[in-house]
Amino acid sequence: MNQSPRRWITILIPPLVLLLLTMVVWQLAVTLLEIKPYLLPSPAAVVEAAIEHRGELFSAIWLTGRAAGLGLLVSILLGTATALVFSQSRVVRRSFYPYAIALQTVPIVAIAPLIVNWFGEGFQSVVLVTVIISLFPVITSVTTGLTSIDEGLHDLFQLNQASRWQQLVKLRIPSAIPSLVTGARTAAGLAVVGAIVGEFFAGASVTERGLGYFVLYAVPNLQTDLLFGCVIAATLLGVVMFVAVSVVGTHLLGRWTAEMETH
Amino acid sequence: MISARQISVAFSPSPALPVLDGLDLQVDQGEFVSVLGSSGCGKSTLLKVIAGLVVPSQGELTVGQGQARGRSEIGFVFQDPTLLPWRNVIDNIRLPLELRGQPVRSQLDAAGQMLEMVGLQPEDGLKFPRMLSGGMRMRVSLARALVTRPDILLLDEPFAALDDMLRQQLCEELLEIWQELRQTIVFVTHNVSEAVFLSQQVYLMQAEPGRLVDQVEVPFPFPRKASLRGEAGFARLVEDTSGRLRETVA
Repeated sequence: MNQSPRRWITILIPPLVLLLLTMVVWQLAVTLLEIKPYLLPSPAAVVEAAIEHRGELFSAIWLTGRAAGLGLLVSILLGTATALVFSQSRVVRRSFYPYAIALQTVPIVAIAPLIVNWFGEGFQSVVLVTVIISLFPVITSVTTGLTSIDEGLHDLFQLNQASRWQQLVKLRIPSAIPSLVTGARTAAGLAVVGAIVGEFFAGASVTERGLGYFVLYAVPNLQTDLLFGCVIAATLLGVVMFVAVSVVGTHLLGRWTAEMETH
Repeated sequence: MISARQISVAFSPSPALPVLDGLDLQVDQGEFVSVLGSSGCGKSTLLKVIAGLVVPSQGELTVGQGQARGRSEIGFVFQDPTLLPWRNVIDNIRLPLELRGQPVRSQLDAAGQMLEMVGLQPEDGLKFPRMLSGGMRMRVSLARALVTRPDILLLDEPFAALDDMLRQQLCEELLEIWQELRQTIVFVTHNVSEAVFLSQQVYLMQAEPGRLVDQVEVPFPFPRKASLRGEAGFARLVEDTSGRLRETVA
Protein backbone atom coordinates (compact mmCIF):
# COMPACT_ATOMS: atom_id res chain seq x y z
CA MET A 1 0.00 0.00 0.00
CA ASN A 2 2.85 2.44 0.76
CA GLN A 3 4.16 1.76 -2.74
CA SER A 4 2.29 4.53 -4.48
CA PRO A 5 3.14 7.54 -2.25
CA ARG A 6 6.77 6.51 -2.44
CA ARG A 7 6.54 6.34 -6.22
CA TRP A 8 5.08 9.84 -6.32
CA ILE A 9 7.93 11.10 -4.19
CA THR A 10 10.55 9.65 -6.53
CA ILE A 11 8.73 11.22 -9.48
CA LEU A 12 8.20 14.65 -7.92
CA ILE A 13 11.34 15.29 -5.88
CA PRO A 14 14.00 15.55 -8.65
CA PRO A 15 12.21 18.17 -10.79
CA LEU A 16 11.23 20.15 -7.68
CA VAL A 17 14.82 20.22 -6.46
CA LEU A 18 15.91 21.38 -9.91
CA LEU A 19 13.24 24.09 -9.88
CA LEU A 20 14.40 25.32 -6.48
CA LEU A 21 18.05 25.41 -7.59
CA THR A 22 17.12 27.32 -10.75
CA MET A 23 15.21 29.89 -8.70
CA VAL A 24 18.14 30.39 -6.32
CA VAL A 25 20.66 30.81 -9.17
CA TRP A 26 18.25 33.11 -11.02
CA GLN A 27 17.64 35.28 -7.96
CA LEU A 28 21.37 35.50 -7.18
CA ALA A 29 22.25 36.31 -10.79
CA VAL A 30 19.70 39.11 -11.02
CA THR A 31 20.79 40.62 -7.68
CA LEU A 32 24.56 40.26 -8.08
CA LEU A 33 24.79 41.21 -11.77
CA GLU A 34 22.29 44.04 -11.32
CA ILE A 35 20.23 43.00 -14.32
CA LYS A 36 17.58 45.55 -15.21
CA PRO A 37 14.14 44.34 -14.13
CA TYR A 38 12.54 45.04 -17.53
CA LEU A 39 15.04 42.62 -19.09
CA LEU A 40 14.90 39.89 -16.48
CA PRO A 41 12.95 40.31 -13.27
CA SER A 42 13.95 38.28 -10.24
CA PRO A 43 11.75 35.34 -9.18
CA ALA A 44 10.72 37.30 -6.13
CA ALA A 45 9.57 40.17 -8.34
CA VAL A 46 7.62 37.77 -10.57
CA VAL A 47 5.86 36.27 -7.58
CA GLU A 48 5.17 39.72 -6.20
CA ALA A 49 3.70 40.92 -9.50
CA ALA A 50 1.62 37.78 -9.79
CA ILE A 51 0.22 38.24 -6.30
CA GLU A 52 -0.46 41.90 -6.92
CA HIS A 53 -2.44 41.11 -10.09
CA ARG A 54 -3.82 37.83 -8.81
CA GLY A 55 -7.44 38.75 -9.42
CA GLU A 56 -6.92 39.65 -13.05
CA LEU A 57 -4.48 36.78 -13.53
CA PHE A 58 -6.90 34.18 -12.19
CA SER A 59 -9.77 35.45 -14.27
CA ALA A 60 -7.41 35.48 -17.28
CA ILE A 61 -6.40 31.85 -16.63
CA TRP A 62 -10.06 30.92 -16.16
CA LEU A 63 -11.08 32.60 -19.42
CA THR A 64 -8.19 31.14 -21.46
CA GLY A 65 -8.70 27.76 -19.80
CA ARG A 66 -12.37 27.79 -20.80
CA ALA A 67 -11.56 28.70 -24.39
CA ALA A 68 -8.85 26.02 -24.58
CA GLY A 69 -11.06 23.40 -22.91
CA LEU A 70 -14.06 24.10 -25.12
CA GLY A 71 -11.85 24.23 -28.21
CA LEU A 72 -10.29 20.90 -27.28
CA LEU A 73 -13.69 19.32 -26.73
CA VAL A 74 -14.92 20.55 -30.11
CA SER A 75 -11.70 19.28 -31.73
CA ILE A 76 -12.09 15.84 -30.20
CA LEU A 77 -15.76 15.55 -31.25
CA LEU A 78 -15.31 17.07 -34.71
CA GLY A 79 -12.03 15.21 -35.30
CA THR A 80 -13.54 11.88 -34.30
CA ALA A 81 -16.61 12.47 -36.47
CA THR A 82 -14.38 13.38 -39.43
CA ALA A 83 -12.25 10.28 -38.86
CA LEU A 84 -15.39 8.11 -38.76
CA VAL A 85 -16.42 9.44 -42.16
CA PHE A 86 -12.86 9.00 -43.49
CA SER A 87 -12.74 5.40 -42.28
CA GLN A 88 -15.82 4.41 -44.24
CA SER A 89 -14.61 5.25 -47.71
CA ARG A 90 -11.20 5.37 -49.31
CA VAL A 91 -12.45 7.79 -51.94
CA VAL A 92 -13.70 10.22 -49.31
CA ARG A 93 -10.46 9.85 -47.39
CA ARG A 94 -8.31 10.53 -50.45
CA SER A 95 -10.44 13.51 -51.49
CA PHE A 96 -10.53 15.27 -48.14
CA TYR A 97 -7.21 14.37 -46.57
CA PRO A 98 -5.16 17.03 -48.40
CA TYR A 99 -7.51 19.67 -47.03
CA ALA A 100 -7.18 18.26 -43.54
CA ILE A 101 -3.43 18.67 -43.92
CA ALA A 102 -4.00 22.23 -45.14
CA LEU A 103 -5.73 22.84 -41.83
CA GLN A 104 -2.43 22.22 -40.11
CA THR A 105 -0.24 24.14 -42.54
CA VAL A 106 -2.44 27.23 -42.85
CA PRO A 107 -0.67 30.15 -41.17
CA ILE A 108 -3.05 30.93 -38.35
CA VAL A 109 -1.60 34.43 -38.09
CA ALA A 110 -2.81 35.11 -41.61
CA ILE A 111 -6.36 33.87 -41.20
CA ALA A 112 -6.97 35.04 -37.64
CA PRO A 113 -7.85 38.59 -38.83
CA LEU A 114 -10.31 37.00 -41.27
CA ILE A 115 -11.92 35.07 -38.46
CA VAL A 116 -12.24 38.27 -36.41
CA ASN A 117 -13.68 39.93 -39.50
CA TRP A 118 -16.36 37.22 -39.88
CA PHE A 119 -17.14 36.31 -36.31
CA GLY A 120 -16.16 39.43 -34.42
CA GLU A 121 -13.94 39.90 -31.41
CA GLY A 122 -14.48 37.67 -28.44
CA PHE A 123 -14.78 34.19 -27.05
CA GLN A 124 -16.31 32.49 -30.11
CA SER A 125 -13.42 33.55 -32.36
CA VAL A 126 -10.83 32.48 -29.78
CA VAL A 127 -12.45 29.05 -29.58
CA LEU A 128 -12.51 28.82 -33.38
CA VAL A 129 -8.77 29.53 -33.62
CA THR A 130 -8.20 26.92 -30.89
CA VAL A 131 -10.16 24.34 -32.88
CA ILE A 132 -8.27 25.07 -36.10
CA ILE A 133 -4.95 24.58 -34.32
CA SER A 134 -5.84 21.43 -32.33
CA LEU A 135 -8.10 19.55 -34.74
CA PHE A 136 -5.54 17.93 -37.03
CA PRO A 137 -3.83 15.50 -34.62
CA VAL A 138 -7.23 14.13 -33.60
CA ILE A 139 -8.26 13.51 -37.22
CA THR A 140 -5.01 11.76 -38.16
CA SER A 141 -4.70 9.63 -35.02
CA VAL A 142 -8.29 8.45 -35.01
CA THR A 143 -8.34 7.80 -38.77
CA THR A 144 -5.21 5.69 -38.43
CA GLY A 145 -6.73 3.85 -35.47
CA LEU A 146 -9.95 3.14 -37.34
CA THR A 147 -8.31 1.95 -40.54
CA SER A 148 -5.26 -0.02 -39.40
CA ILE A 149 -7.00 -3.10 -38.07
CA ASP A 150 -5.10 -6.27 -37.18
CA GLU A 151 -5.41 -8.63 -40.16
CA GLY A 152 -6.31 -11.63 -38.03
CA LEU A 153 -9.14 -9.76 -36.31
CA HIS A 154 -10.37 -8.56 -39.68
CA ASP A 155 -10.42 -12.16 -40.93
CA LEU A 156 -12.25 -13.24 -37.79
CA PHE A 157 -15.05 -10.74 -38.42
CA GLN A 158 -15.18 -11.64 -42.12
CA LEU A 159 -15.40 -15.31 -41.28
CA ASN A 160 -18.36 -14.67 -39.02
CA GLN A 161 -19.99 -12.56 -41.71
CA ALA A 162 -20.07 -9.43 -39.58
CA SER A 163 -21.95 -6.55 -41.16
CA ARG A 164 -20.21 -3.24 -41.88
CA TRP A 165 -21.95 -1.78 -38.88
CA GLN A 166 -20.85 -4.62 -36.58
CA GLN A 167 -17.29 -4.23 -37.82
CA LEU A 168 -17.39 -0.53 -37.06
CA VAL A 169 -18.97 -0.79 -33.62
CA LYS A 170 -17.40 -4.00 -32.33
CA LEU A 171 -13.99 -3.83 -33.98
CA ARG A 172 -12.91 -0.51 -35.50
CA ILE A 173 -14.12 1.90 -32.84
CA PRO A 174 -12.75 -0.07 -29.86
CA SER A 175 -9.47 -0.58 -31.73
CA ALA A 176 -9.18 3.17 -32.26
CA ILE A 177 -9.58 4.21 -28.61
CA PRO A 178 -5.84 4.17 -27.84
CA SER A 179 -5.23 6.34 -30.93
CA LEU A 180 -7.96 8.73 -29.82
CA VAL A 181 -6.25 9.16 -26.46
CA THR A 182 -2.89 9.82 -28.16
CA GLY A 183 -4.46 12.37 -30.49
CA ALA A 184 -6.35 14.09 -27.67
CA ARG A 185 -3.17 14.36 -25.60
CA THR A 186 -1.34 16.13 -28.42
CA ALA A 187 -4.38 18.33 -29.05
CA ALA A 188 -4.57 19.33 -25.36
CA GLY A 189 -1.17 21.03 -25.50
CA LEU A 190 -2.00 22.69 -28.81
CA ALA A 191 -5.36 23.93 -27.52
CA VAL A 192 -3.71 26.19 -24.92
CA VAL A 193 -1.37 27.57 -27.59
CA GLY A 194 -4.38 28.06 -29.85
CA ALA A 195 -6.40 29.88 -27.19
CA ILE A 196 -3.56 32.29 -26.44
CA VAL A 197 -2.87 32.98 -30.13
CA GLY A 198 -6.60 33.43 -30.59
CA GLU A 199 -6.69 36.00 -27.80
CA PHE A 200 -3.83 37.91 -29.43
CA PHE A 201 -6.17 38.65 -32.31
CA ALA A 202 -9.66 38.36 -30.98
CA GLY A 203 -9.40 38.68 -27.23
CA ALA A 204 -9.31 42.45 -26.86
CA SER A 205 -12.81 42.89 -25.54
CA VAL A 206 -12.65 45.22 -22.55
CA THR A 207 -14.63 43.17 -20.08
CA GLU A 208 -12.91 39.81 -20.50
CA ARG A 209 -9.14 39.56 -20.66
CA GLY A 210 -7.46 36.21 -21.28
CA LEU A 211 -3.80 35.34 -20.90
CA GLY A 212 -3.11 36.19 -24.55
CA TYR A 213 -4.47 39.68 -24.06
CA PHE A 214 -2.51 40.02 -20.82
CA VAL A 215 0.73 39.18 -22.63
CA LEU A 216 0.03 41.88 -25.20
CA TYR A 217 -0.86 44.41 -22.52
CA ALA A 218 1.97 43.64 -20.09
CA VAL A 219 4.91 43.96 -22.46
CA PRO A 220 4.40 47.51 -23.78
CA ASN A 221 4.21 48.71 -20.21
CA LEU A 222 7.57 47.05 -19.45
CA GLN A 223 5.89 44.90 -16.84
CA THR A 224 8.27 42.07 -17.56
CA ASP A 225 7.63 40.53 -14.16
CA LEU A 226 3.92 40.22 -14.92
CA LEU A 227 4.75 38.86 -18.39
CA PHE A 228 6.77 36.11 -16.72
CA GLY A 229 3.81 35.41 -14.47
CA CYS A 230 1.60 35.02 -17.57
CA VAL A 231 4.07 32.67 -19.22
CA ILE A 232 4.22 30.50 -16.12
CA ALA A 233 0.44 30.55 -15.79
CA ALA A 234 0.02 29.56 -19.46
CA THR A 235 2.53 26.74 -19.06
CA LEU A 236 0.76 25.44 -15.97
CA LEU A 237 -2.56 25.61 -17.78
CA GLY A 238 -1.11 23.48 -20.60
CA VAL A 239 0.26 20.96 -18.12
CA VAL A 240 -3.07 20.76 -16.30
CA MET A 241 -4.95 20.15 -19.57
CA PHE A 242 -2.43 17.52 -20.65
CA VAL A 243 -2.58 15.72 -17.32
CA ALA A 244 -6.40 15.87 -17.27
CA VAL A 245 -6.62 14.29 -20.73
CA SER A 246 -4.00 11.70 -19.75
CA VAL A 247 -5.90 10.72 -16.60
CA VAL A 248 -9.19 10.35 -18.48
CA GLY A 249 -7.29 8.45 -21.18
CA THR A 250 -5.66 6.05 -18.76
CA HIS A 251 -9.08 5.34 -17.30
CA LEU A 252 -10.52 4.68 -20.74
CA LEU A 253 -7.56 2.49 -21.63
CA GLY A 254 -7.86 0.34 -18.53
CA ARG A 255 -8.95 -2.65 -20.56
CA TRP A 256 -6.40 -2.12 -23.30
CA THR A 257 -3.44 -2.06 -20.98
CA ALA A 258 -2.02 -4.28 -18.28
CA GLU A 259 -3.76 -2.27 -15.58
CA MET A 260 -6.00 -5.15 -14.53
CA GLU A 261 -3.02 -7.33 -13.65
CA THR A 262 -2.71 -5.76 -10.24
CA HIS A 263 -6.07 -7.10 -9.11
CA MET B 1 -17.31 -32.63 -46.71
CA ILE B 2 -14.52 -30.63 -48.26
CA SER B 3 -13.78 -31.14 -51.90
CA ALA B 4 -11.26 -28.96 -53.67
CA ARG B 5 -10.37 -29.60 -57.28
CA GLN B 6 -7.62 -27.87 -59.22
CA ILE B 7 -7.60 -24.85 -56.93
CA SER B 8 -5.31 -22.00 -57.94
CA VAL B 9 -4.72 -18.75 -56.10
CA ALA B 10 -2.65 -15.90 -57.45
CA PHE B 11 -2.28 -12.52 -55.82
CA SER B 12 -2.16 -9.45 -57.99
CA PRO B 13 1.50 -8.38 -57.68
CA SER B 14 2.80 -11.60 -59.24
CA PRO B 15 0.07 -13.50 -61.08
CA ALA B 16 2.78 -15.52 -62.81
CA LEU B 17 3.83 -17.04 -59.47
CA PRO B 18 0.67 -18.51 -57.99
CA VAL B 19 0.55 -19.29 -54.25
CA LEU B 20 -1.55 -22.37 -54.94
CA ASP B 21 -1.56 -24.09 -58.30
CA GLY B 22 -3.86 -26.94 -59.25
CA LEU B 23 -4.34 -28.15 -55.69
CA ASP B 24 -6.59 -31.13 -55.00
CA LEU B 25 -7.92 -32.03 -51.56
CA GLN B 26 -10.67 -34.35 -50.45
CA VAL B 27 -11.69 -34.53 -46.80
CA ASP B 28 -14.54 -36.77 -45.64
CA GLN B 29 -17.02 -35.93 -42.93
CA GLY B 30 -15.57 -36.36 -39.45
CA GLU B 31 -12.07 -36.89 -40.76
CA PHE B 32 -8.99 -35.38 -39.10
CA VAL B 33 -6.37 -34.46 -41.67
CA SER B 34 -3.14 -32.51 -41.41
CA VAL B 35 -1.42 -30.48 -44.08
CA LEU B 36 2.31 -30.55 -43.56
CA GLY B 37 4.72 -28.20 -45.28
CA SER B 38 7.53 -25.73 -44.80
CA SER B 39 6.69 -22.15 -43.94
CA GLY B 40 5.63 -20.03 -46.87
CA CYS B 41 4.33 -22.93 -48.95
CA GLY B 42 0.77 -21.63 -48.96
CA LYS B 43 -0.71 -23.71 -46.13
CA SER B 44 -2.44 -20.72 -44.58
CA THR B 45 -3.78 -19.64 -47.95
CA LEU B 46 -5.27 -23.10 -48.44
CA LEU B 47 -7.16 -22.79 -45.14
CA LYS B 48 -8.34 -19.31 -46.05
CA VAL B 49 -9.65 -20.62 -49.36
CA ILE B 50 -11.61 -23.35 -47.57
CA ALA B 51 -12.94 -20.74 -45.12
CA GLY B 52 -13.97 -18.43 -47.95
CA LEU B 53 -11.62 -15.66 -46.86
CA VAL B 54 -9.65 -15.97 -50.09
CA VAL B 55 -11.42 -16.51 -53.38
CA PRO B 56 -9.51 -18.89 -55.68
CA SER B 57 -8.76 -17.61 -59.16
CA GLN B 58 -9.47 -21.06 -60.58
CA GLY B 59 -10.86 -24.39 -59.53
CA GLU B 60 -13.89 -25.90 -57.92
CA LEU B 61 -14.57 -25.91 -54.20
CA THR B 62 -17.37 -27.58 -52.30
CA VAL B 63 -17.54 -27.14 -48.56
CA GLY B 64 -20.22 -28.60 -46.32
CA GLN B 65 -23.40 -30.21 -47.52
CA GLY B 66 -23.62 -28.48 -50.87
CA GLN B 67 -23.29 -24.75 -51.20
CA ALA B 68 -19.81 -23.41 -51.71
CA ARG B 69 -18.29 -21.63 -48.74
CA GLY B 70 -21.01 -22.12 -46.15
CA ARG B 71 -19.00 -20.06 -43.69
CA SER B 72 -21.40 -20.33 -40.80
CA GLU B 73 -20.46 -23.93 -40.20
CA ILE B 74 -16.72 -23.29 -40.18
CA GLY B 75 -14.61 -22.63 -37.11
CA PHE B 76 -11.17 -21.13 -37.64
CA VAL B 77 -8.27 -21.07 -35.20
CA PHE B 78 -5.66 -18.58 -36.34
CA GLN B 79 -1.93 -18.76 -35.85
CA ASP B 80 -2.17 -16.00 -33.23
CA PRO B 81 -4.93 -16.08 -30.65
CA THR B 82 -6.40 -12.85 -32.19
CA LEU B 83 -8.47 -12.00 -29.13
CA LEU B 84 -10.12 -8.61 -28.65
CA PRO B 85 -8.04 -7.01 -25.85
CA TRP B 86 -10.97 -4.94 -24.55
CA ARG B 87 -13.19 -7.95 -23.99
CA ASN B 88 -12.86 -10.51 -21.23
CA VAL B 89 -12.56 -14.22 -21.96
CA ILE B 90 -16.27 -15.02 -21.97
CA ASP B 91 -17.08 -12.01 -24.17
CA ASN B 92 -14.34 -13.08 -26.59
CA ILE B 93 -15.67 -16.63 -26.79
CA ARG B 94 -19.25 -15.57 -27.44
CA LEU B 95 -18.34 -13.06 -30.17
CA PRO B 96 -19.24 -15.34 -33.14
CA LEU B 97 -22.69 -15.95 -31.65
CA GLU B 98 -23.11 -12.26 -30.92
CA LEU B 99 -22.32 -11.42 -34.56
CA ARG B 100 -25.00 -13.92 -35.60
CA GLY B 101 -27.53 -12.10 -33.41
CA GLN B 102 -28.24 -14.91 -30.96
CA PRO B 103 -29.93 -14.05 -27.67
CA VAL B 104 -27.39 -13.04 -25.00
CA ARG B 105 -28.54 -15.73 -22.59
CA SER B 106 -27.73 -18.55 -24.99
CA GLN B 107 -24.47 -16.85 -26.02
CA LEU B 108 -23.33 -16.89 -22.41
CA ASP B 109 -24.44 -20.48 -21.86
CA ALA B 110 -22.59 -21.69 -24.92
CA ALA B 111 -19.48 -19.68 -24.06
CA GLY B 112 -19.48 -21.13 -20.53
CA GLN B 113 -19.65 -24.68 -21.90
CA MET B 114 -16.79 -24.04 -24.30
CA LEU B 115 -14.71 -22.52 -21.51
CA GLU B 116 -14.99 -25.79 -19.67
CA MET B 117 -14.37 -27.89 -22.77
CA VAL B 118 -11.00 -26.26 -23.44
CA GLY B 119 -9.92 -26.79 -19.85
CA LEU B 120 -10.34 -23.30 -18.38
CA GLN B 121 -11.85 -22.49 -14.99
CA PRO B 122 -15.09 -20.50 -14.65
CA GLU B 123 -13.22 -17.64 -12.94
CA ASP B 124 -10.92 -17.35 -16.00
CA GLY B 125 -13.98 -16.17 -17.90
CA LEU B 126 -13.77 -12.73 -16.34
CA LYS B 127 -10.07 -12.23 -17.06
CA PHE B 128 -8.77 -10.09 -19.89
CA PRO B 129 -6.44 -11.47 -22.58
CA ARG B 130 -3.49 -9.48 -21.21
CA MET B 131 -3.68 -11.42 -17.98
CA LEU B 132 -3.47 -14.82 -19.67
CA SER B 133 -0.49 -16.95 -20.60
CA GLY B 134 0.12 -17.88 -24.24
CA GLY B 135 -1.37 -21.33 -23.74
CA MET B 136 -4.50 -19.97 -22.08
CA ARG B 137 -5.01 -17.46 -24.89
CA MET B 138 -4.81 -20.25 -27.43
CA ARG B 139 -7.41 -22.18 -25.42
CA VAL B 140 -9.72 -19.17 -25.52
CA SER B 141 -9.17 -18.90 -29.27
CA LEU B 142 -10.06 -22.58 -29.66
CA ALA B 143 -13.17 -22.16 -27.51
CA ARG B 144 -14.27 -19.22 -29.70
CA ALA B 145 -13.85 -21.34 -32.83
CA LEU B 146 -15.91 -24.15 -31.28
CA VAL B 147 -18.72 -22.00 -29.88
CA THR B 148 -20.78 -22.08 -33.07
CA ARG B 149 -20.59 -25.89 -33.01
CA PRO B 150 -19.01 -25.94 -36.47
CA ASP B 151 -19.03 -29.03 -38.67
CA ILE B 152 -15.62 -28.04 -39.95
CA LEU B 153 -12.72 -26.83 -37.86
CA LEU B 154 -9.69 -25.27 -39.54
CA LEU B 155 -6.52 -24.76 -37.51
CA ASP B 156 -3.57 -22.73 -38.79
CA GLU B 157 -0.44 -23.75 -36.84
CA PRO B 158 -2.27 -22.94 -33.63
CA PHE B 159 0.38 -24.24 -31.23
CA ALA B 160 3.50 -23.11 -33.12
CA ALA B 161 4.34 -20.33 -30.65
CA LEU B 162 4.05 -22.53 -27.55
CA ASP B 163 6.74 -24.57 -25.82
CA ASP B 164 6.94 -28.32 -26.48
CA MET B 165 5.30 -29.54 -23.28
CA LEU B 166 2.31 -27.25 -23.70
CA ARG B 167 2.07 -28.01 -27.39
CA GLN B 168 1.83 -31.75 -26.70
CA GLN B 169 -0.71 -31.24 -23.95
CA LEU B 170 -2.91 -29.07 -26.17
CA CYS B 171 -2.66 -31.64 -28.98
CA GLU B 172 -3.96 -34.32 -26.62
CA GLU B 173 -6.81 -32.05 -25.54
CA LEU B 174 -7.67 -31.22 -29.14
CA LEU B 175 -7.91 -34.95 -29.88
CA GLU B 176 -10.24 -35.42 -26.93
CA ILE B 177 -12.48 -32.66 -28.20
CA TRP B 178 -12.50 -34.16 -31.69
CA GLN B 179 -13.29 -37.61 -30.32
CA GLU B 180 -16.27 -36.10 -28.53
CA LEU B 181 -17.62 -33.82 -31.25
CA ARG B 182 -16.28 -35.50 -34.41
CA GLN B 183 -16.00 -32.42 -36.55
CA THR B 184 -14.12 -32.47 -39.80
CA ILE B 185 -10.69 -31.03 -38.99
CA VAL B 186 -8.00 -29.64 -41.26
CA PHE B 187 -4.89 -28.96 -39.21
CA VAL B 188 -2.02 -27.06 -40.80
CA THR B 189 1.46 -27.42 -39.32
CA HIS B 190 5.16 -27.69 -40.08
CA ASN B 191 5.70 -30.10 -37.18
CA VAL B 192 5.84 -33.70 -38.41
CA SER B 193 5.27 -35.46 -35.09
CA GLU B 194 2.34 -33.20 -34.29
CA ALA B 195 0.73 -34.04 -37.64
CA VAL B 196 1.28 -37.78 -37.21
CA PHE B 197 0.06 -37.79 -33.62
CA LEU B 198 -3.17 -35.96 -34.39
CA SER B 199 -4.46 -36.98 -37.75
CA GLN B 200 -5.75 -39.86 -39.83
CA GLN B 201 -4.27 -38.54 -43.05
CA VAL B 202 -1.21 -36.34 -43.49
CA TYR B 203 -0.89 -34.40 -46.74
CA LEU B 204 2.52 -33.14 -47.72
CA MET B 205 2.60 -29.77 -49.36
CA GLN B 206 5.13 -28.47 -51.82
CA ALA B 207 6.01 -24.80 -52.14
CA GLU B 208 6.13 -22.55 -55.19
CA PRO B 209 3.66 -23.32 -56.45
CA GLY B 210 1.72 -24.70 -53.50
CA ARG B 211 0.37 -28.15 -54.23
CA LEU B 212 -0.30 -31.33 -52.26
CA VAL B 213 2.18 -33.86 -53.57
CA ASP B 214 2.10 -36.80 -51.19
CA GLN B 215 -0.12 -38.45 -48.65
CA VAL B 216 0.63 -40.55 -45.56
CA GLU B 217 -2.04 -42.63 -43.90
CA VAL B 218 -1.69 -42.83 -40.12
CA PRO B 219 -2.93 -46.25 -38.94
CA PHE B 220 -2.89 -45.75 -35.14
CA PRO B 221 -6.31 -46.32 -33.58
CA PHE B 222 -8.24 -43.84 -31.46
CA PRO B 223 -8.37 -42.88 -28.65
CA ARG B 224 -4.70 -41.99 -28.87
CA LYS B 225 -2.86 -41.37 -25.64
CA ALA B 226 0.30 -39.40 -24.88
CA SER B 227 2.14 -42.73 -24.61
CA LEU B 228 1.75 -43.21 -28.37
CA ARG B 229 4.69 -40.83 -28.86
CA GLY B 230 6.97 -43.36 -27.13
CA GLU B 231 6.06 -46.28 -29.39
CA ALA B 232 8.49 -47.56 -32.01
CA GLY B 233 5.87 -47.55 -34.77
CA PHE B 234 5.15 -43.89 -34.12
CA ALA B 235 8.83 -42.96 -34.31
CA ARG B 236 9.20 -44.92 -37.56
CA LEU B 237 6.24 -43.20 -39.18
CA VAL B 238 7.48 -39.76 -38.11
CA GLU B 239 10.90 -40.60 -39.55
CA ASP B 240 9.39 -41.89 -42.79
CA THR B 241 7.13 -38.84 -43.13
CA SER B 242 10.03 -36.47 -42.48
CA GLY B 243 11.98 -38.20 -45.25
CA ARG B 244 9.14 -37.81 -47.71
CA LEU B 245 8.71 -34.17 -46.70
CA ARG B 246 12.38 -33.54 -47.46
CA GLU B 247 11.87 -35.03 -50.90
CA THR B 248 9.04 -32.60 -51.67
CA VAL B 249 11.25 -29.69 -50.71
CA ALA B 250 14.20 -30.94 -52.78
